[in-house]
Amino acid sequence: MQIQTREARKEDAQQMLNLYNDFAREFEGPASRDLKTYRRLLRRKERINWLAINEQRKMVGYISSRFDKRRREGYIGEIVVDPTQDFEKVAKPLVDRAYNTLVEKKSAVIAAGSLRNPRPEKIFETLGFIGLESTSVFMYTILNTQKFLNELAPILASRLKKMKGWTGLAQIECDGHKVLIQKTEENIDPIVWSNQPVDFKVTLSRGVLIKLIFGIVDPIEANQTGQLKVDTVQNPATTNQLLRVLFPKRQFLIMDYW
Amino acid sequence: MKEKSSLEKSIEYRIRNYKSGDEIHLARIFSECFGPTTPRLLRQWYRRMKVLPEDVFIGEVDRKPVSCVEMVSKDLHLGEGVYVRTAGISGVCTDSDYRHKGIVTNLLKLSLNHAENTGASNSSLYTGLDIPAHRIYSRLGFVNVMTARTYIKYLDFPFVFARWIRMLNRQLKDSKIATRKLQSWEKSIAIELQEVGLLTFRFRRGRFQRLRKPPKKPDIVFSTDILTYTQILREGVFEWDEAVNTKKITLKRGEPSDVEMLKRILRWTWED
Repeated sequence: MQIQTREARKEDAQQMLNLYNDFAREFEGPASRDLKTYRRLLRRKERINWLAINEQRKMVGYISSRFDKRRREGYIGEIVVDPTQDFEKVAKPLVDRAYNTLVEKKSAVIAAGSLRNPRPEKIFETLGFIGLESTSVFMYTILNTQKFLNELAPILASRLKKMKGWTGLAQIECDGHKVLIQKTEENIDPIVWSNQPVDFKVTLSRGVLIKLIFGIVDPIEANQTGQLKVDTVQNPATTNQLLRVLFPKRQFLIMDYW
Repeated sequence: MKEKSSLEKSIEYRIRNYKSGDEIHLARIFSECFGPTTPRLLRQWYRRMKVLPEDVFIGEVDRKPVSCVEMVSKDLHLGEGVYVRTAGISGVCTDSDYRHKGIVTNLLKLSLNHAENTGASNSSLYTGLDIPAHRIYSRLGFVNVMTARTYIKYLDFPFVFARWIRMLNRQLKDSKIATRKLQSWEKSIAIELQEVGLLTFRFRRGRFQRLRKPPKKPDIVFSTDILTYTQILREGVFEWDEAVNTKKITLKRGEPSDVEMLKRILRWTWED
């Protein structure tokens, strides 16, 4: 695969947004963006944005960096790659291009980082960057548990749909609030109330729910250590499979700050 | 045993929403807490993040804003293409003369209440693990989700060092506590950085000064490597004492009280 790079222009905004939307779906945490975000990004003088183009002239990735002339500080902000492509193969020429541009501009220091995509880490290490753990932390709290569970219901239903060969009523209970999802052979629906016996019930605290949703805790480990409680008649293998389907191990990533 | 309260003597204050003109006071408090900013930058930020006046809570004492909490609405991807609205908390700060009085905790409670009333089921924020506010957030139910990882490469370290000295002076201008604590402190410091060489600076007559020629007998001399120096200075993930114990820092000269002050300067943390 031959990847070429070129500087982003204002007419690339829509394509960059589409690429971001596809990329964001691979992670838990990215914020939604609109065309305005990209128009602003491409308008700002201190920003240097490079695109990765494949042999079919299709945009498969972009990198956004900025240079502070007064401080001589370069910053590589975000690397977004089409999820159907090999991340490293697309990201490497983009990082090289951004890095060389920042060096040409006489940066005294170049920083890069995100909260938190491990994929480009190797690329930065090969360029001689030092990796540092930071004390910056992203914190999250649930204000209204029932509303939050209702908002999660479509996500959980969509995940449960992927569980082949299992039908029944699943219940997630958090701090006395619950969400019910009914899976039949034909369809899957979040439901408000039922007097049917629950086939698979998970009881957990708000803290554990947050960690599971952001994919930073393993659900099976959480079950074994008593962080969550499972009531079910299913065998242990199906129980673990259901837990894995409902709370898959995903990578947390945030690229927008406030 | 009754727990000792960390709150100092209470004061009379009131809480209101943002009104035009507040950014002048807020820029001053923001500069003290987060680094240099201007009223214009604040206005731009509010416009860009679509922050409404009712999303900004301001604590005022004697009609003067002394504390602030803002709420920014964002939609976060929580899986399977579903975005859930979050009430992003930002700009949490208090004038150093009015800290430990519970003002910001009250502002936060009101902001979270406002967020819930306006339809947010959750709230999120960015902070530092090592700052006092982290304790407040934890008490209010916020859970640590993930810490960041940074990559850094120095291409001209002497320039970065000179800029750091300029930055210290800029921060000092905005920090009342630092100005008070450094009032009668006049010392010179020599840093032997393995990869760079000797770097020296001093604090004299209320200003940090980079010294091109090292003094004959600096008050504090220590040697370290660039990684440890960056970990302490930039990201705050490495404690000075830990670095000394693990021999990442070799302290060659320095009175304990002076070293304590240097630690504060390096991390720019002035709260006791």
